[in-house]
Amino acid sequence: MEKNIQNKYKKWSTIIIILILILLFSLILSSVTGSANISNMQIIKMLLHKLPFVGDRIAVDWKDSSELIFFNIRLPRVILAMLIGSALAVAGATYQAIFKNPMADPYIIGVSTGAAFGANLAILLGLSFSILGLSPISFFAFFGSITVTFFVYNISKIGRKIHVETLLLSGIAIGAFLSAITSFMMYIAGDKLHQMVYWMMGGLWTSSWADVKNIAIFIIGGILVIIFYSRELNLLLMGDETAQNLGVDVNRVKKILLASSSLITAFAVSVSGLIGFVGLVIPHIMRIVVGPDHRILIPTSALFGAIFLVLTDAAARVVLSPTEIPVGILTAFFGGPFFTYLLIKRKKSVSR
Amino acid sequence: MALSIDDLKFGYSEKEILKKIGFTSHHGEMLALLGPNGSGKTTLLKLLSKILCPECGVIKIGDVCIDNIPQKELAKEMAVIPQSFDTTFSFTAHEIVMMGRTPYISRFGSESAMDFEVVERAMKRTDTWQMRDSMFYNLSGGEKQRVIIARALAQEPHILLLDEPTSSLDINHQLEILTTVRSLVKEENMLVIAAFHDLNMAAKYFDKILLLSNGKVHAEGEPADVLTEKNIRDVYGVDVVVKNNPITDSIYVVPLDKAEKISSNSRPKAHVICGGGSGSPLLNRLKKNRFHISVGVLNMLDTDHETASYLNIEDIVLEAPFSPISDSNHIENLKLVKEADFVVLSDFSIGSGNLKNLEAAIYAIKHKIPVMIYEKRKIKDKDFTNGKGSKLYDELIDNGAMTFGSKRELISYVQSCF
Repeated sequence: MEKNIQNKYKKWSTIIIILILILLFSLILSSVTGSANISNMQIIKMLLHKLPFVGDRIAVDWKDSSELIFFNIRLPRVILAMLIGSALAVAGATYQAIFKNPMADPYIIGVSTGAAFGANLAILLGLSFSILGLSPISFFAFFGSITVTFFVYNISKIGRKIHVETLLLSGIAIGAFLSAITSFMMYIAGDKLHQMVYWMMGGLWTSSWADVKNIAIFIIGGILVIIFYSRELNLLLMGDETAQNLGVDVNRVKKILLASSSLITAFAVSVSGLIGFVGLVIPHIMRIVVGPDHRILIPTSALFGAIFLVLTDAAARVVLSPTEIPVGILTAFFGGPFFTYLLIKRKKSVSR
Repeated sequence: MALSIDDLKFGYSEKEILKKIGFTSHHGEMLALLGPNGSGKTTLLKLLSKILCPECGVIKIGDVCIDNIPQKELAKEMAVIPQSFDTTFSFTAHEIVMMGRTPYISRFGSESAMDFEVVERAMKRTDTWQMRDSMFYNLSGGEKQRVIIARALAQEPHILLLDEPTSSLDINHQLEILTTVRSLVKEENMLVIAAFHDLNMAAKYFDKILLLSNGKVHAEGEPADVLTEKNIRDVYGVDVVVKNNPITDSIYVVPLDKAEKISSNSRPKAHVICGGGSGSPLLNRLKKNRFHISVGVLNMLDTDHETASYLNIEDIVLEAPFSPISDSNHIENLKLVKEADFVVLSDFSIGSGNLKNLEAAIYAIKHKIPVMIYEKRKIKDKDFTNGKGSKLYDELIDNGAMTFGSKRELISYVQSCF
């Protein structure tokens, strides 16, 4: 039996190594893709040039603008896509376990409506300042989502206990209310409407190193916390009472997990707008591949979410080149049919 | 070590569920919580496992109050087996049982060789080792329950709480699981507390019973002391007969009918004169039709006597076995006759010993108490007294006693009159 388990662990590490390799490949593929024509060779040289010792020996045979595009636009964008993809996928997997509901996604308790409200407000007011290197839109989007989550959470808290059903319903109720206001803002937005719609579709065209700096540590930290609690996530799947009887401090763990996943979602959304379907579909794909055990599901979801968004973002840059389309359109474009396929497959397995 | 509960109270907003519960239970003991739905069994178990917090009162394991035991430590001390457990996620039986080791595995560690050993032992113990690689959701109800018991054992607890653990299982698996649990208690010196519905299973497998009623302890003690006809009637509102089972040497409970709400005084009274087993079906039917029944005079050990005691008939005049009716017992019988609304005579054989029973019937009819006779045989076929009995019988008929050819007719007649 122990052999079986060792085989399982071996299989797990193989899957992780393969995913890491695919991620590296996607990162490279995505950073050489784009409307500005920069050759692969040039990029390799640019990267080597940045290294100590070796750098001096590389002759600069590229335009300054190429270097600028690569280092200040493409590279932060690819890294952001990676961070946001993994944040959304991990948050989705976590919510699905906490709510024991396969339809749960990172936006389920109002993060998205809060963020949209905040972002649209900033656009409407035409604010232009910068806090900690964050644009006012990012700043408002972040605080919008955090405020709504906090509000929804407190509505559904009774004593020490969190009622998951109430959490879901109050998320929907507050979401509907804020959507109404957001729609109204869009109605009166005039020529700013365009910017609002773009933001809500989700995209990464405004990426900068400041964004990476601001969110990287929180997203990586949040994902690590959730990975540390993956054994507890397995037990939460068994039901709150069973989890508690098996030694999990359910209320405390739920709080930590809800806080971590809301926070990473809020950080992701603040810089990218509302990118849909990554958080819903990626955990389902990984569940089919590696099974329901969160000790492997969470890390692989993080990796595959990153791969998926990095590649979709590359596609978003090239399909209508030289213009680009919001990546949120493409994730839903790929994610929608896939999810439908999953549902049909599940229907068949139920009626078998 | 012991689990002790003192002055425990719990309620949801306005409704009090448990009022002042207190008891102590020791290791090596199986305690059954019995009581009707809503009596607080499940609530009590949830309080014991810290799923719910009591309004007041303390629960102690040994000397330590469970409030002061962290969840993880409590999981090493106490395991819970729910009524049923299922998951739609694809975990194998082995993975499910391994979850029982959670309290022993540190956050950054993984399962040790020791954990695997404990899981293997627990699964072999519950006869689930061969299904270790099967998906849990593909197992049958009984197998699932055994895997869950293995998971509880993997926690290496000293206390096992079970919430109606066998209610969804067939009789075969019920017995299997209770036998397993019982042997565990005795070998590992565990304490088992189980909410239960089946009184007979509880009587057979458990050492002690706590009978709950409306959130209070109604009775507590050994099965034979707690499961009395009176207690069961008080708590469940049903009439039962409690007998000793000579095969298993435990008591068993036979339910009769739902107890009548109206007091026995207001029910019409039937006095039945019978013997030799001839009265048993009549007694049973009268009882079913909610008549208050008295019987006399019967010889001890008579089949009709046995039936009467099965049916909980208390007003009964008894004579020593095989003896003729004494004068004093005859007078006792006349007292019962006088109190009755009507008298029923079964188709008993008449010998010199029970002639007085016919006299009692004549006494009844002379006091304007109607007498109904179930007449399967003619009097000449059942009179063994050289005519003395026939003479009394004729006198009875002449004074207006009615005869019926079938029991059904007789019963429907008395039903329509009283």
